[in-house]
Amino acid sequence: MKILAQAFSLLCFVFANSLFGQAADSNSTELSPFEKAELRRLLDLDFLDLSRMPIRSVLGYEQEHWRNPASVHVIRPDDISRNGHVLTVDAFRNVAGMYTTRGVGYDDFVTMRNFSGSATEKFLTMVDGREVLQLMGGTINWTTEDVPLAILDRIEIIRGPGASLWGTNAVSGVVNIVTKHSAQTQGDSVRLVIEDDGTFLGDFVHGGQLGDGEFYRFWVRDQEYSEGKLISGLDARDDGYARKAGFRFDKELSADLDLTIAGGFATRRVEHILDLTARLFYNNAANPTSPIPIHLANALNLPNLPTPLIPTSWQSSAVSGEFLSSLNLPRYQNYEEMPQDGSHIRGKLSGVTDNDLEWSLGGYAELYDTTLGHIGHSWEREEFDFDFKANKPIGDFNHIAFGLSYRHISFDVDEVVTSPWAFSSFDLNTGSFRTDIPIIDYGNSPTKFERFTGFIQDSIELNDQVVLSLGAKFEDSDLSGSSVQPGIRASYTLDEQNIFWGAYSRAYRQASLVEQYTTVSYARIWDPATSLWANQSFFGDPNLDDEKMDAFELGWRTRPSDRLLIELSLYHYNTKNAVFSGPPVYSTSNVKTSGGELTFDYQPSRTWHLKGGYSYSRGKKDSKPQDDFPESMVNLSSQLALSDNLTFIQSLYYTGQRTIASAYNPIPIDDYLRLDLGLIWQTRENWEIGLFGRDLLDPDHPENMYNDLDVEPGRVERTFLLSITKKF
Amino acid sequence: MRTRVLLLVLGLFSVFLGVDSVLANPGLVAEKRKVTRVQAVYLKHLINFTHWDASDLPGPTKPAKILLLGEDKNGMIETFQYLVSESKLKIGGRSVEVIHFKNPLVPDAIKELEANPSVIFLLPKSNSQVKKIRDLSPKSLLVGNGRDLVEKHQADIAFTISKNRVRLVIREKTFTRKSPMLSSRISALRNVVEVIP
Repeated sequence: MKILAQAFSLLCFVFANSLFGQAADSNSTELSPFEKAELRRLLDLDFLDLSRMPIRSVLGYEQEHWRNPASVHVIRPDDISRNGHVLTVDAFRNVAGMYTTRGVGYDDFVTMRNFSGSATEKFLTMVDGREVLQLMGGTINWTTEDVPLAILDRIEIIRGPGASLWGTNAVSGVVNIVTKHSAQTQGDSVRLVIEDDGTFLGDFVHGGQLGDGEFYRFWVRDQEYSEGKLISGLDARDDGYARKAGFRFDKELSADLDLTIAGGFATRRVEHILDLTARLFYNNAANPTSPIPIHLANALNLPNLPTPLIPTSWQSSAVSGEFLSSLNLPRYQNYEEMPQDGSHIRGKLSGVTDNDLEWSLGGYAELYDTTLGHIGHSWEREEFDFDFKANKPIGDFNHIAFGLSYRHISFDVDEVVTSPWAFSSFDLNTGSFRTDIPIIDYGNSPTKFERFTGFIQDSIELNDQVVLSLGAKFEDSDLSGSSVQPGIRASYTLDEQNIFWGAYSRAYRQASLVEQYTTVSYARIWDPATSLWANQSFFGDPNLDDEKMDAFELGWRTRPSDRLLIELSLYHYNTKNAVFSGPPVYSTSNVKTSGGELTFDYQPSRTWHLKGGYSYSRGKKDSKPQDDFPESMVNLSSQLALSDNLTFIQSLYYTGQRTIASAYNPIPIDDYLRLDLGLIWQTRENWEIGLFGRDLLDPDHPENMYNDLDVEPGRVERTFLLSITKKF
Repeated sequence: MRTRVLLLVLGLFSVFLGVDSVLANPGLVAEKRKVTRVQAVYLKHLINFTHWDASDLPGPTKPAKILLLGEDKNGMIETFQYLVSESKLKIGGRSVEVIHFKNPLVPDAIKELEANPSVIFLLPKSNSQVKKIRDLSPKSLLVGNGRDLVEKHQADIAFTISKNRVRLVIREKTFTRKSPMLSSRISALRNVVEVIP
């Protein structure tokens, strides 16, 4: 109730100001710096894009509008290719507030604004309206969901909760990936990226026209991962491949009635590791909650040790002669295949009526099959989604958006016991001896889920200075029950150069299926009293409440000139029931996070473009400071045109120190500074050759890993990269 | 609790909708300026897709002229001048000069019209003088606002607003005559363009 009172006070303040404040000189024919910057952006739009630009729109839809009361960053294809990034996820390193890290060669982790917990990706990610968050583990497979640069139109990143417009799981933010209309990808495009270690990516896109108003494209990709090293110097065994294909068909059924059908397929074949070093213990009768690693028990000559000391099935996972120095224990690990296949098809019918109602009716079907061989857990997911959205100007001041959607998800889950674990152990859950206890046991937990959602949002132009957005999303879900996620945002134009905005939102994140429904067997303990191995597990909690976050945000956007944009965004999040994993249970905590981002975009001349940002974030979990997210991050990027067809790129990234949290092996990650340099040569109108050196200041450094699953982080190494692109 | 939240949200919503109807008429200026920006970009693109015979252009060292006629309340002049500068717009390889006359019938304006500028853009509420302007400048690309401009007054291109979008109405002859001739590729964009005879 206190929150609502505060929100209401904010509303009253905004409303009072709109009545008594001085109006900006809206009759001036002079262009403001914001208008000039928008004009430069509009110049890049073709006839088709211009025809789709609404005159009035819902606040929060048009992300680049300067009055948008949200902290937004938009990535375009050039931002990816001209910074020497290979995949779209790499480009998130240039987004203040996003913490992007690499594990082994094919693993990317992304968090936003100091969110942690067992599922790191606590933001909603969509590709052309299709949600791509993996419900099982609460993560995103960035390889599977990546798209060729040639078909990418933009990536809109909204920092901060956007639940009232976007829905559940839009807790720390929204990443909205939008691809181009087929009419805009006509002809052939090729992109090849080769790294000095042999990593390769190749995309081919072909687009054509079938008839009047009928366009299509299809594309294929091959990505080959070469093997890297772990920080210890051991081989990372992260070689493998990913292959993808996709298509899109667009047809103008009539004026202002469009049909889109699209689909894709992705397959990835890699291996992954499970750390087995500290998973066999000796029961410590004096302190049962602190069992002793079996090798340590052996070194201490404790009584009645098992014979053999290490179970036979476990012995083959030993890495001969290697110790995990942080734990001073012999190293054990198990690699298994991790195949992943995903396919989807989506359709959308959209139009605009004569009374300005803009609507879309869409749906998609998705099939995803993955096996996490290292933990013996696999699932096949079928997903169907239908949604209807519409928006319409009402009178001169209001613009209403509303929508309904339905989703059905079903899983077919399977578990197998991986070979090291296949030794007889006492299962406390069943009271029997078993050799087939899987690491993750989904048991008879629910496998079918439905979700109904509706939303309504009103954007109100109170006057030329104040725009207000009120909205709420209503959700009824098998996983999380019923919820209402309200949001209120407002922007105030002080003058032609300065805009302030503020927002309050409430957002929910539903716990992943692993967090709710699985039993995780993470260790075996030898009991000298009974001479038995016993399985140790911790349990998901089907009664885990949704994480509930109240978010308060303030922002300031200033354009001293049309060539310089500075933005400051501040936030305070109060999250209840944030889920953190680790034995013996998935626990929830209250987390308070505060921070902000300061960004700038400066183009002092036609030949030089500078962009950058600084983010600061500090969190407390149950009143204790968190150290699993870097407090400070900086990114700076400079593009200098040496001539009409030669551009010199310099990018600098700083990431503060942090700790990879772990139940038994926390790993400190030092702060690091990364320098990338590149040269881009436009040989002819559509051809571009880029040569980049990345991480030039450091031969390698660690960034991240799956805590309590991986043994150690991979080395993120200095690389040299050649890219050759033929654009449409 | 949830019901109370809903009721509070709906109540606030109702208050603001109710107050909306009482307050005077804000927000339209921002909308008109946005329309102006979109129109200016369209105009720049249209010029790029138009061909003029050399005989309908000034000498190679002289700038091609774009006349904006009428009262400018929404910043079209500055907007278009900014676009010309940013995009380095050229007509037939010639630089572009943008000239504005509030009253198209003053002697200086008539003199420029008789010189057959490459493009004439009629700002809103200038349509009443279209016939005279057309008579003075038969070889100019004549662009303005409102469907009637093309249907009744024989202008070449008109901007209209429908379904919350800026659209184009284009006279068919604009695609078929010798000069100035608009590329027929534009006519294929059904969601953008309506071609009328």
